[in-house]
Amino acid sequence: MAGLRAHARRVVGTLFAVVFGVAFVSGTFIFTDTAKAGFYDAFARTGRNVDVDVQATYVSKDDPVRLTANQLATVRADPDVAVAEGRVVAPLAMLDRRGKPISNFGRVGLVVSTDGDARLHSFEVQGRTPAGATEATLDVETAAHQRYAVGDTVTVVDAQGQRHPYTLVGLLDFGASKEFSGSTVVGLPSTAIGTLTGVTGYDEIVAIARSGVTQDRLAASISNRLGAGPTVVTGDQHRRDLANSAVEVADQFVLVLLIFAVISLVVAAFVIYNTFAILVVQRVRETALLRCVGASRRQVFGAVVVESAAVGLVGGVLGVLFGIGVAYALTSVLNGTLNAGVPSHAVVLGQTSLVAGVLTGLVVTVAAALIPAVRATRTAPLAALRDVVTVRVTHARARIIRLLLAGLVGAGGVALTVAGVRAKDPQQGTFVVVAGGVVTFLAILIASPAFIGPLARLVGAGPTRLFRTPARLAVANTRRNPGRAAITTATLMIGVGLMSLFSIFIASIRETASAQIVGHYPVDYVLTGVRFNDGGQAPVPVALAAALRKSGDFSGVAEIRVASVATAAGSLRVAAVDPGALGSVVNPELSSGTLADLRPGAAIALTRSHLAVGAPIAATVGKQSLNLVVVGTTPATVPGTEQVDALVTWADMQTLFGPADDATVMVKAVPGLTPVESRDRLDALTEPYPLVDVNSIADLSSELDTAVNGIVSLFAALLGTAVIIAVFGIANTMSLSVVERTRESATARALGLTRGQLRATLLAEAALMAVVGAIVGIAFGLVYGRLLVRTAFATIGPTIVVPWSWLAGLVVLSAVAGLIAAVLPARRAAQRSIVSAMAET
Amino acid sequence: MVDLVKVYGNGETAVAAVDGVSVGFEQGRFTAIMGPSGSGKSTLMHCAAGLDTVTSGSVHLYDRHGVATDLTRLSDRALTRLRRERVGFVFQSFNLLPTLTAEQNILLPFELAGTKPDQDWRRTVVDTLGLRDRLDHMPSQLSGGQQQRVACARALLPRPDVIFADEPTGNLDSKSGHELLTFLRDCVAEMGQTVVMVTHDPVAASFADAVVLLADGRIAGHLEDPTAQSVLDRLKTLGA
Repeated sequence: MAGLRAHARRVVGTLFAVVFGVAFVSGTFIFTDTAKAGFYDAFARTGRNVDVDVQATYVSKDDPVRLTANQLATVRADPDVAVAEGRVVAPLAMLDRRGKPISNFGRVGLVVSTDGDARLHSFEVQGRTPAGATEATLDVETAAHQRYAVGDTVTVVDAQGQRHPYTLVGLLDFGASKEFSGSTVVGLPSTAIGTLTGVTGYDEIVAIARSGVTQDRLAASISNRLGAGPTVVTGDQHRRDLANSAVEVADQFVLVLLIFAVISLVVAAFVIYNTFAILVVQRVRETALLRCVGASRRQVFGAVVVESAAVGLVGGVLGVLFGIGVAYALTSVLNGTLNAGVPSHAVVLGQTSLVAGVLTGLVVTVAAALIPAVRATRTAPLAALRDVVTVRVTHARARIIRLLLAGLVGAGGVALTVAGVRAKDPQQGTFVVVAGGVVTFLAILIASPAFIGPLARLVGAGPTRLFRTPARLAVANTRRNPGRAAITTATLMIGVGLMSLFSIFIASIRETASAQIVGHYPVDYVLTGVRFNDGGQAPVPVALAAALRKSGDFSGVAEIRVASVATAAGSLRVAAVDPGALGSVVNPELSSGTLADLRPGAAIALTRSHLAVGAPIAATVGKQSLNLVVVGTTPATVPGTEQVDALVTWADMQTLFGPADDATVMVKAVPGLTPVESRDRLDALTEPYPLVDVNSIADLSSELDTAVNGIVSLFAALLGTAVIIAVFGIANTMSLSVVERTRESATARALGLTRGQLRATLLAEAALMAVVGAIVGIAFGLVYGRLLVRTAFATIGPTIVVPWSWLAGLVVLSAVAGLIAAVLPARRAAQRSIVSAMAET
Repeated sequence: MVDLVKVYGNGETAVAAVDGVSVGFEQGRFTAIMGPSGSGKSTLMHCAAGLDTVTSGSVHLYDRHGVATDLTRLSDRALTRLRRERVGFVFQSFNLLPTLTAEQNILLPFELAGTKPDQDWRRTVVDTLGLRDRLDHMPSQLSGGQQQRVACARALLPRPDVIFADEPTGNLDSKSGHELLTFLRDCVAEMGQTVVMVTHDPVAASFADAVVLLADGRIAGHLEDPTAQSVLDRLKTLGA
């Protein structure tokens, strides 16, 4: 402990590493607790006053069997029920002041029922609820950002694409509830909802018990009356269920976050290990002296462990405090980039987060210091009399053992990777490749002391020619203790390696996706119906395609229909392209078979269906059935609609479904029309169809870019913690090395090294280590980024993109980070007077 | 050197390590500075070599043509250049850079200056010191005597105006120490090199042409052509 006090400055870097690592972990826990509390609050409001909740049963996630008016009457007939109301929520598009549907992340809004007893509303009403057929309410959020007030007219669009104007008579305040956050929520009487959307019945029936009747008793009695089918739960249970299902979504984020937190902790552990290893070496004389005066090995060991425990404890406590800030940041980042809809809530610092945070700091720090502690016990008492050797000569045997071990582990990693790449199932293969990557990385870490030195010389070759002595000395310094340099660079290697891996992965996905659109569909615009919040999508009326053809402004118009058919293996989404456009406007590349083979009775399988040529498809729709055979496969997808499994002929589609609207219409403008002109004409022609979205191919690409950039920045931010810890590690190693080399630096100064050159030497050494770490990390990322993309998207034949400029940026950034890390140590070293430094041992 | 004063600390705790010393070291001679511990001999050398700043007084270094440079008026950068080109050092604990080979250590001053040594001179120095087959070794692979010979080569190669040796035999066995001192004396006798050596060993001092005795930061005496016995006798009178 006394040692710690004496060397307080030497462990500051370590402390920071612990603090950052712990902050990430405890921040994640605090975020979870806070988000949970927020969700509970939000749903307490949705379910307020509700004693019993009757829920519609769901055939599939988006396909409810709604509750009927009869069932509502049955509930009301229960003598224990004081009040019972039906609630309905349905998709409904609302237009903005320019007449375009308001959408949030590609989806249009909702309508909720506002009739019934006010006690059972999940909202407060500012103004009043709609009474006449021309009155409506709107949620306060939408009203605020679309600048609507009571008295204004708002327009909604029914399922048939007809516009309906309403006068606003009130605003709905959902309070802290984020259930509908981001969507437009129009409030109408349930009868009006029925006429507009075609949705009849209720999503749920909520009831208040007569006084003196418990929730459980009422739930049992209502359940009896309704019989099998609907789910009946008490109000309390309902509120818990709602919150839990919301938290489940948050839990998925938390898992991802914890993975990143563990990465940060591993990096922090490296930094801690390195610090204590260096401290132990520096204190050989001190330790030996203690041994001389009678300290036992156990006492020496204990001293190091206690010291690390103190650092871990302080770091843990500070880390938890920082964690609160991290939790705040996580909430805003997740809401901002992923639209997670996490409700805001005062920070909840639970016991688990507190204990877990502090314990993490303690355990990781002590564990990382164990090996150095054991090494300290090996100090011979006689070492007190010897000169401290700061250059460690690695024995050839140790080096061979290390390389053998690295080779063995590396072979395992490569074997796993190869197995993963060759695996049939892309998902399984991806997991195996990831496992192989982890093992291979381990092998690189084991082997790194052997290659860091030569690599540093290679990287330093350029600067050496430029800056001569400082750079040459720096290169020599990085090679003096390969183990230490290896661990210092390893910390950066991890962060930069993952960053480059992700960037390659994501850039490739982006490029693959846009290549899909551009390659398979040489069109200018894609018209689709707006998407509803329940997963449905509005159709594109056939009349629109006819109007587009008639106008003469468009050389290619391709109608695409999509529908679900039932097969023995489950439901299958099939698409058909109108015969006039297939092969010209829509021209998917096939990986087997030819488009000419697509005749009635045939189908071309898309990658996601996993169907092979020759596979039979027995499709049924209602009473219609059709036997199809797969004649070809294609990696193409159909843009603008939900996933499609197979392409069939237009004729077969007609046979199965009869005439219907289109899912997507692709349009190619006649040559000679500028993009602005074609867009204007397209807008004019689609004007009667408010639920049709016009996207240019450029729009689709830029939408993709925005989404991709969001994910990239999120990952960069998460991995940034690991990189920051690594920089602290470099700073710590540098300042400790400077202390260790005090006399040596003084000698060089005596021989004619200027202050500037000494500073440059240390700066160059740190930058060199950082760059070497970054280069190894990027090399790893390059290999595994490619392999992962290739494996995960094996069936599509992905385009692999390496974002070289971003990778080059990473190297420069690492170098700058290394320089910054070394500024203070270098200053301190350069300011020492030669004579006093020389006197120090 | 004129009226040299070096004070450590200030106010009441101030200690004058060197107090009004005026001394000259002749060119082409081997001078030893002697004195008991704490007599200020190391401080005197540090100031003379431009390693340490002086509180008052001046330090003049004469080049081959007799032109003097006042070290106390130089900036840190100029002082560094001067050390690089005109002053050589041999330290008690060798002070070789552990990351550089023997050869790289020897060439370091040139490396720092961005110049090349005279190749004939380089061969002569390396051969005289018997370092030819040790050039590729790291300092940790060399014996103490070999390391000190490398340090000597490093000090000699730039043909400095003066070489300062701070207890050069302090960490050597008597045989290596004897060889080193002989070599230093030969440098002076045969090459006209100026050498100033700080030591507290009368035997080492007896290799010098002259001895300057120091006590309590002041000059306490002067001996020409010393022997171990004459030095010992003078030291006894000082200690009394």
